[in-house]
Amino acid sequence: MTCPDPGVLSQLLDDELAPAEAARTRAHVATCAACGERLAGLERASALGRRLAGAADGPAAPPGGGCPGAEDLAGWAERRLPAAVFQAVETHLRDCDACLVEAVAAVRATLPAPAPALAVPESLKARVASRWSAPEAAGRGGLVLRLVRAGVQLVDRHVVAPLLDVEAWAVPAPAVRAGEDRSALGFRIRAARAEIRASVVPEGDGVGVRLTLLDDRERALVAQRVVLRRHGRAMYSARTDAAGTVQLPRLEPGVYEVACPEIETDFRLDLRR
Amino acid sequence: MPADRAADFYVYVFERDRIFQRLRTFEGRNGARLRTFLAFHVLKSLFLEWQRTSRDLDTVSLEETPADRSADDGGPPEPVAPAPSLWETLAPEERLDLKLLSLLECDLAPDDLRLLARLSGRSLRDTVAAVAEVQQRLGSRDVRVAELRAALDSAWGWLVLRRRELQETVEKMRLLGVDHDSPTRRRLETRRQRLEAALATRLGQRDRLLAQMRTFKVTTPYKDIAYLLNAPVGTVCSRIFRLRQRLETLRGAQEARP
Repeated sequence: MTCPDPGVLSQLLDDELAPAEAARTRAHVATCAACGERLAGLERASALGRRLAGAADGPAAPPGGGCPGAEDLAGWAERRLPAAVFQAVETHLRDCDACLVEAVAAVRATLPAPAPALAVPESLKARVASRWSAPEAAGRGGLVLRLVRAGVQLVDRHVVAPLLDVEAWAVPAPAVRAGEDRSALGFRIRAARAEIRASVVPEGDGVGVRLTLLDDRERALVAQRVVLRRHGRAMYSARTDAAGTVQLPRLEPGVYEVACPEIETDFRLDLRR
Repeated sequence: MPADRAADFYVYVFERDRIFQRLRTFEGRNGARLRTFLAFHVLKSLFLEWQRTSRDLDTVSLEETPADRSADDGGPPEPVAPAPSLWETLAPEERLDLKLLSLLECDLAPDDLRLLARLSGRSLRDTVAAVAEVQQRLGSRDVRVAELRAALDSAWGWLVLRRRELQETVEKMRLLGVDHDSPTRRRLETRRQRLEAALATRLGQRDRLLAQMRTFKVTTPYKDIAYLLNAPVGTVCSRIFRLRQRLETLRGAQEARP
């Protein structure tokens, strides 16, 4: 075989040759030093080009003036605008980097989603469910637990399936400084294969909350993650200790969510003054 | 984004009817559909707002994987990108060709899109749509590559967002003028430094993703490049070959220099 055109070698690099031609060319390159050297050079250039192209980017210019609204960009992306408006947007995009970046995002949004829809994680379902009180008929309406002493007056709880049961009882505060009269509230949340025992103790303006995670035989669940959220944002996260216990930081009055993802249990704590 | 964070965002979107308040601005003028408006505008601006409310600079998602760290210890997996001067010597058309060839890992900059529109004789809208379509097709060829591409997209989105924030911070500092010791200025200065550090980390992460992607051999098929340029495949073949020859010459010349 005579030496192939160097352009063919470039195509070989990009898998652009028909299988038979690719095999023929490879066989030739293996025996021809000159073509081997040419191919190596092209390969180096190809790698260099890829690195150069990947490294090139910079901050986009800030928007200028007279930018089209989001709705017009959406219409432009879908090619549904009247011709005059469409042209006006096109003209604007010729000068405005910021809008063109937006426009690319708009076009991408019109493409059909390539991947199958992801399954909604159970923890998210539970979190969303915890924000809605279940209908009374289902017997899982919000339960209000009252604390009579200063500090906490209300502990309002919304829990989600598969929780089975809640019990509340008064417990002595674990540590009471001399001269202070404190009372605490305990409650127990039973899930399918686990149980959470909580004790809520007034502490100054706020409350201290201690949670103990147990399995269905009342053995401590060790190293379970417990996440405390407020307004949907995680503010504290810890793992249970050897006794299955985790002490949450002192909480100011407000609405919190407590999530124990590993036992798939979420509940809401509503602490009001 | 980890599922946990995504869930945070989901809850944020519906909390206090945020999403519904934004949807109210939709008027249905000129036939724009709500779906597109929702996907690219409403959700995006909510996302930016959500990101802004997070107090720290994403320390959680900036966490490096063990693979990242080992790459750091052993030095970069390949030579650092060559001096930008080489990139600067290329003509805009040549730069565009290089990016088109690596469309899976490179996004076209606004100027590239305009040039492509001019070369292909298409409207900007059709150009942008054609590029997006080809990119999507490339990504669907390999699951692993598609994952890397998604990671790259999110790193890129983060970079865009924080760079804008850095620009704003610098601009505010400029407006404050010379009063070097005011608490506001000190606060802005701290913010600027944190942003710069976070940006540097993110850029490192992005470079590692790119390097990982380059281990996959995925060049854009010539027929797709030809479609984008609205040119015959033969022309694309010879353009790419000539460009590679030129790059090899430039590289040789650069290495010959002391």
